Amino acid sequence: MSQAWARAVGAINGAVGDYLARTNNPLATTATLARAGRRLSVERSALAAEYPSASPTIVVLLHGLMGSELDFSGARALDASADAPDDYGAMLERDLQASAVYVRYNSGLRLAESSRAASSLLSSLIDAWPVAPERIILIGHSMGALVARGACHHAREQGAPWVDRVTNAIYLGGPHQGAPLERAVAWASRWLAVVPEPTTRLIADVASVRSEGIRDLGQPELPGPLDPAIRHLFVASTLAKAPLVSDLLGDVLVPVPSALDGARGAVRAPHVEVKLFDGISHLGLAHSQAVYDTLKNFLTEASP
Amino acid sequence: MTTNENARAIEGTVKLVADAVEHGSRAVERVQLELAARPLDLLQQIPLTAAPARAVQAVHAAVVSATHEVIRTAARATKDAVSSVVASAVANDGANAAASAGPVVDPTPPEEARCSPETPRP
Repeated sequence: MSQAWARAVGAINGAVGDYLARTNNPLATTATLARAGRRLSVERSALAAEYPSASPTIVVLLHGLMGSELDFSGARALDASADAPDDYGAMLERDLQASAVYVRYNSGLRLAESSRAASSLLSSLIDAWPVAPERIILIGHSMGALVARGACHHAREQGAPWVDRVTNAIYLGGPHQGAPLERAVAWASRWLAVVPEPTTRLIADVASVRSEGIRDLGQPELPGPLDPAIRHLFVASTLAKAPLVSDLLGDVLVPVPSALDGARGAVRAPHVEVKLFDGISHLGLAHSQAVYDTLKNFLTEASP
Repeated sequence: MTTNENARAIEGTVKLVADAVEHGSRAVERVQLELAARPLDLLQQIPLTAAPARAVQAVHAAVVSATHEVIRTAARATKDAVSSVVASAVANDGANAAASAGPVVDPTPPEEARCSPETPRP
């Protein structure tokens, strides 16, 4: 699969992935591991071939809504000579001697469904990993942050052993308290639908063609309190300078309080950290050198 | 991307476009009929224009519905045609792969060739 096609399929799945799954459309993505636009089989022999020097430390990266594993590559996915950092996975492989795996999932499905699928995939991964896994690090961008959080919760409930190996979870611009853009679209489409005018109803129909995954981002149902056995890092960004505007605007798609899950300034548990950046866009949080430096420090410093 | 993956990607894309055409056509048809009904309903309140307005509305509704039905039928036919072509291409690909792999050989040696601890090897 070419990288451009992988990106296109990721976007289509985010927009109408629930419909694709319901209608058995071959474009519907099933949760899998992927690398550079290719699907990977979660079997020991395939993983051993793909990761000849597999590390006991596994970094799991989860993309956001309408995304794919290529989101973490940024400009490099389009141009290998681009003046941009490698993706976080490649850099952590180098700096932490870890192995990076990328989860590709249908971001148009309900968050709970994607979380269950990710948990099940990670169970298969640790069973098939070529060496005994000792440490798992989760990095979720945007919706991927919520999926990572939900997967941990689901794994705890089901007694899945992979979650016991998770030491750190990093949430990059995750809409933990919802995304106002989705709430605005939902509100607008509801009101347009009741206006007794055929053309406004048509606009409302078009606006309502959005996946369950997108709808869930309006006010996501968080799976419960943060797992105390895991160190959590919430990363947010803001594109505005003025304090009030910066909180509301955030990275344009996710306001700062939502990305930090309300943890900024509050008395936080010792296993929770937050970091706020200036001038990085929502998509930029997935492939920025400044963000990478922060998450590398977070992963290498000793637990409190 | 393998031939099968390519074929399935094409099938999925055509299916999605055909579904979009089907849903879009129904929505646009509804809007066209509702918009046309406004002036024609008013004209039907006036005794002098009531009969012609009813006729015009009936003809308009028939033409609009027939046009959209043709669009939807063409989309469904394209989707079905592509699905059949892809299904046969995938089946042929599977058959060719099996043929090129050669006959299936049972790795178990025949009974008489097997050596038991009691039977000395030749």
